Amino acid sequence: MLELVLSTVGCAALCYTLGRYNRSLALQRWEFVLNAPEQRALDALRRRMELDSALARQALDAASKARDEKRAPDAITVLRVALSVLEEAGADRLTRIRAMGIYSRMVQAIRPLPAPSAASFRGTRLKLSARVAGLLHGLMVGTQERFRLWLTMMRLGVGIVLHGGRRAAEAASRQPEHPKAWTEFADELSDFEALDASHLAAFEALAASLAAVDRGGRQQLWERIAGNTR
Amino acid sequence: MVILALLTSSTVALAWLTPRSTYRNLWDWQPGVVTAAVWLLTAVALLVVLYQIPIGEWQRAVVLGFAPYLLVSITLINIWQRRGWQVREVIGLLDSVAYLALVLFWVYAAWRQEEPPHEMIPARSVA
Repeated sequence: MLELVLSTVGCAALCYTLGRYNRSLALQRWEFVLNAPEQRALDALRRRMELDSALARQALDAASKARDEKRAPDAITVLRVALSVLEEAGADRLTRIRAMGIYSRMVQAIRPLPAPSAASFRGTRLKLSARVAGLLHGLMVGTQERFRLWLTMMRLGVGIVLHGGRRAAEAASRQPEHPKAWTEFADELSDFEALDASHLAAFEALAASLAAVDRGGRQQLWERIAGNTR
Repeated sequence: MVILALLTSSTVALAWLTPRSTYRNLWDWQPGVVTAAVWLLTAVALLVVLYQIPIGEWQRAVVLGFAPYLLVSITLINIWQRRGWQVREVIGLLDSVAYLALVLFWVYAAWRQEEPPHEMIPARSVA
């Protein structure tokens, strides 16, 4: 009989709690207020990513045009410029991913990110790693460990894209007339842009979470409540 | 890891440290186990609300459906214990009906289109 009473109380508490649960409101509460420096940092990063992407794409377009005009040495040179843009951008992303990994341990909570998806990638290895990360995302519970899983996937993704880009550039320099290597390089560039979108989402989530860290306001509030105001 | 350790230790404790039980005395253990399951689900619900975890409609339906089913199940076991083995067929039938209702509810929840979140609070500058 005791178990029946306890179960009834537990069940009633559960139904009351989850019955009043409002998902939209919970999501709204996770939309933290961004303050100006973080918003500026986010805008600066977005502009930098757009610039990197535009430079690499412009170089690739120029290389393709030179190849179409049968100027193979010029095409290879410009393709190497596109590769160097990707490599520099990749080094920048890896440095920021390492920094985000450190900062992610300092915040009290991190805004949840969606599960990694393979839909936005073209490369097989990148798709596979995104699927594995999506699977692991479902097995993890905490938002911090899920965030670090995102970072690991992005770090791996940048490595895969740069490796694929170098391989495609090498293949294109050996056989400039062969279209496969050029298509592969374009795919790697597209994957890099998709990774940049994930990078920006992760940075935004971390910036929003850092904005939610208590900077002494709560202590002041408690002091005011306790009557210690000057 | 904590859940795995709890599961392992409780399984070992139940297997080795408890008297031998059969199906005929299932009410010695089953009500306590079911009550613990209900309270675990209640704790999950409280944590969801306390930490404002954005769970989906499907996860909410799983918890909201399973707890009442467990309550029905424990009630039926209680009746069974009081009335004896002659009511086992009725109890079995009622338990099946309750489980069918639970599965139908889950199917309905799984097929229902989840509403997208709307009216998000816009990020604002506080400089």
